[in-house]
Amino acid sequence: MIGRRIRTALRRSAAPLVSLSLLAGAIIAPPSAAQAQTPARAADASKLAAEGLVTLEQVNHGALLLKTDKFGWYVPAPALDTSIKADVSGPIARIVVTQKFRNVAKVFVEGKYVFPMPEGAAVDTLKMRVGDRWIEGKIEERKEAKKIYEEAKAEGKVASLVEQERPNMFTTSVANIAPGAVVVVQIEYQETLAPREGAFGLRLPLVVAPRYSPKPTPVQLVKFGPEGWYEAKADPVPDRERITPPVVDPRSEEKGTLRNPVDIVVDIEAGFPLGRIKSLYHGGQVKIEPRGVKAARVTLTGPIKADRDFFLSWRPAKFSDPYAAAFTEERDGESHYVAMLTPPDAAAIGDTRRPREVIFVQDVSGSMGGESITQARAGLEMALKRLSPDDTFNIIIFNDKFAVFEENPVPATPENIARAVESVRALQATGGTEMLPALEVALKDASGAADGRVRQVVFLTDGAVGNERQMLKLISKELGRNRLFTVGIGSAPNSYFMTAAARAGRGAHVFIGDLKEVRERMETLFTKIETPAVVDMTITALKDGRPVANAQISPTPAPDLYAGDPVVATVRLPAGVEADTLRFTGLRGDAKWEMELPLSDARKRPGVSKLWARETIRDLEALRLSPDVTAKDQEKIDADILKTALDFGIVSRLTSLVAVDVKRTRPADEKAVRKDVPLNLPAGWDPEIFFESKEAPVEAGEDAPALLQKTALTRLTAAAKAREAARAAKAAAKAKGLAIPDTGADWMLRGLAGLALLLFGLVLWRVTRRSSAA
Amino acid sequence: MSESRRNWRRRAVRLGAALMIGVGAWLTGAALWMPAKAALGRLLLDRTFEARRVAPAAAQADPARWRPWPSADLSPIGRLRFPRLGESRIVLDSASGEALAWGVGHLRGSASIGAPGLTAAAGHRDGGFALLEHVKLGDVIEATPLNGETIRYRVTRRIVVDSRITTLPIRHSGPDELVLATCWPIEALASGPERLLIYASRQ
Repeated sequence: MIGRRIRTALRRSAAPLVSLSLLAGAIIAPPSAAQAQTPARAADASKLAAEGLVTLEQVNHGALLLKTDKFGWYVPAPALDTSIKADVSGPIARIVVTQKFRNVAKVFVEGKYVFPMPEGAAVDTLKMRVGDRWIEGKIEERKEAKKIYEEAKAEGKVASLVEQERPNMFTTSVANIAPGAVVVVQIEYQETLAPREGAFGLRLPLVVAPRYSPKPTPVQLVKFGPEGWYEAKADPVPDRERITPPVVDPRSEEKGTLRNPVDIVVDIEAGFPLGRIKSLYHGGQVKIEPRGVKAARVTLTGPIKADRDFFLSWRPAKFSDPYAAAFTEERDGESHYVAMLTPPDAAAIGDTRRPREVIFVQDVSGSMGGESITQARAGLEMALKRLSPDDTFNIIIFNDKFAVFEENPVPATPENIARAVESVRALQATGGTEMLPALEVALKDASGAADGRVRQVVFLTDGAVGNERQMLKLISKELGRNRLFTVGIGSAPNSYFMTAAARAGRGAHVFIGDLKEVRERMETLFTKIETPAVVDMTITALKDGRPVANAQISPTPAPDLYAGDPVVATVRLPAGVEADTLRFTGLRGDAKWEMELPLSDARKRPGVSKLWARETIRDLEALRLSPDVTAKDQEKIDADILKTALDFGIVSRLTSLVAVDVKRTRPADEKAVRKDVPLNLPAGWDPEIFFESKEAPVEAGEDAPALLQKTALTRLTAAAKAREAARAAKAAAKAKGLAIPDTGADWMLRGLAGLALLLFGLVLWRVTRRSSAA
Repeated sequence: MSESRRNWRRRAVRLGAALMIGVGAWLTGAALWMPAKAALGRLLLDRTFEARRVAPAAAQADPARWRPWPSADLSPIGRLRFPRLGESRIVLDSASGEALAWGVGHLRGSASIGAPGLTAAAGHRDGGFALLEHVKLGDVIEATPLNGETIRYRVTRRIVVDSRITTLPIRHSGPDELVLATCWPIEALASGPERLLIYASRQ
């Protein structure tokens, strides 16, 4: 019997059998392990293709692809075209942004686009075009709008939703775009353009720079309150997923690819004879046609890439000093005013310079890599050289760690300045953006008010962070006698953070968008820093020289007024109340400062009431972040914000615009894929630094710590923020690229399992045989 | 206990044991087939690559003529040499699971060997690319394309990344770089999401 013979052989030695079975196994074994890792087997492939996924080989150059969870398969993201039409009339601009979503996939797609807005924009209109139908959007409480949108999405209707993520960052979502179809979304907003340093400026931000969002603190606080025990989850950026769209690696694109192209037309009706009109960052790409003396049209010579702010500035042929303007609108019996004026040149005021203590805070995180850090180094160097020997200074640099130049501020002697300049020149940008600890140290006022110095903190950053609120809260809490000045750096700075931080810090802000601007913009900053500001300003509405009660005036409290800054005030008067004058009073140095602006000759202009609403919401949001506001106060403030936004029909943190088509587009049996529109990396950002993970080196750590070693800065503390945070940010910012395949055959594991099973089987076989013999 | 029931039980156990022996032998064999395949593959691929390299241009261009063995749907397109380790590896035209079982695969979409941009190749940590563990910063790696000069690269970076969140840039211009990828840690029994990446720049 063969069985018996094998049994005998087995009893003699297990080895021959093992080798026999190995041989047999080797002959029959299919390379199953290898096949399991193949990206898509033939059977799967047709299914994946039916879901609208494509492989790299099936795509022409330049198509947008997004990774899916299926290795090697991608779905094309919706393509997006933007055109912007701005109508400037005096110091007010009405802007229409048209976003064209084109679905290039073979399936229904829900597209989401994260886009920037000027931080003072009052967004009031949404229109959507599906085929040849225009659908008007309506303003709703944010939760309600979201619900309407989700319902329409589930019903297969085309719908769009415009939400505010930050005052300067919005998202458009469009549901159920049919394969090959185009859905057009049109958003309108209004903005005031008060002149600064003698020029009017229109900033059209075109790209949201990738933000760094610090991780929640690992410590879980348990709080005890009237509702019982609850966990206080301290995530500084609760909406991190909403504000981190995918970013395209420019190195992976064909040269000259126009991703998210933008077309811009600006019509200027200046209201005064126009002097020079200048496009700051797109000089070679604009065409300026005068339309008479007071008007002009600015167009682009061709579409531009949405990778940096578009900034247009114009000057009067002859600047009348001071400049003043007022506009009004009647709405439901109430009258609204917007008034602006630029005070006369402050340089005429005598020298009241006092010794200063200046703390420079320099962002050296990865987002500053490339052109930004060059601009920042140049700016910082100029600032240092500008100090007088009786001033003291210190420098703090930060990324996910921070370092200080000296333990305590040092006198600005030529030697110290030379040493500091040398350190500044060696600065490199890399790593995460943990602003909070650096700013905390900067605001810590060790010497106190006793030394009689003015304490100024100059903060140079692109503001590419997601935890703006946490920062603003810290600033208003720890400000003390500090004054915070922000210098916004780079091609797409977070203008909301720059202006809000300067306002909370009772200082001023400037932007540097180009290396050529550094000198001029830093000069502007020094003028602001060195000339006494108007403080303790109050704004009063007057009728026949007497204050009017019930006038709601924004900004409240009024910010300090620095040289070159305009005052913009909005006023709301209840029905039946009248005012003829707006009076601004304050203190400049030790002298009383006062200006008046007549309201009686204000020109009528639609949309003025919306500007009042937007300014009021801005005041309320700032108030909400001030340190002594309780949770209950916050609820009340939120209710006020909601009411104002709904009454005036503008988008805010708590209100959104939503539009829903009447007809069903997507059949019930078809699925829709959700895709974010990928953004461009802002111009000047270094893709090497941004995309390539420099985390966890196996050998030779030439990374973050080297930043501190390379510079001559003394290391004080390394913030104990783990690598985790930076890694998570990288993950969020991951870009399209080649997936790295699975590269383990794991044959040893399989072999060991097989051997164990084999041996166990043999032992069992033997044991049962013996028992049968017995 | 009755005799028949005991007998029945013994048979069941013996049947289970026989099954275990069968499956265990099959698994072990399949596992051992992997290194055997890698070794065999290296031999056949080396031969094919050399033959293809010296072949006339017209014949060289047709991949169908250069199957290392008749049923193979992959063909060698280059060779990597690690002079300090005294090792070399043939690069196949695909990094599919099937190709990786035989050797090292070029990632489709990345630059070809010798073309400008970023060239990427991957191999099994328990196969063709186990040697990456011993590649050090500053090591020379030589890459030979099918036709053209051998290119010398120098290792500039060794990093470990999470493959779930990291992709390699697709770049067909800029500095010429070579990236070699394998699973990390090398000696692990089962594969995880981590990958070791060796970056080398053209000299």
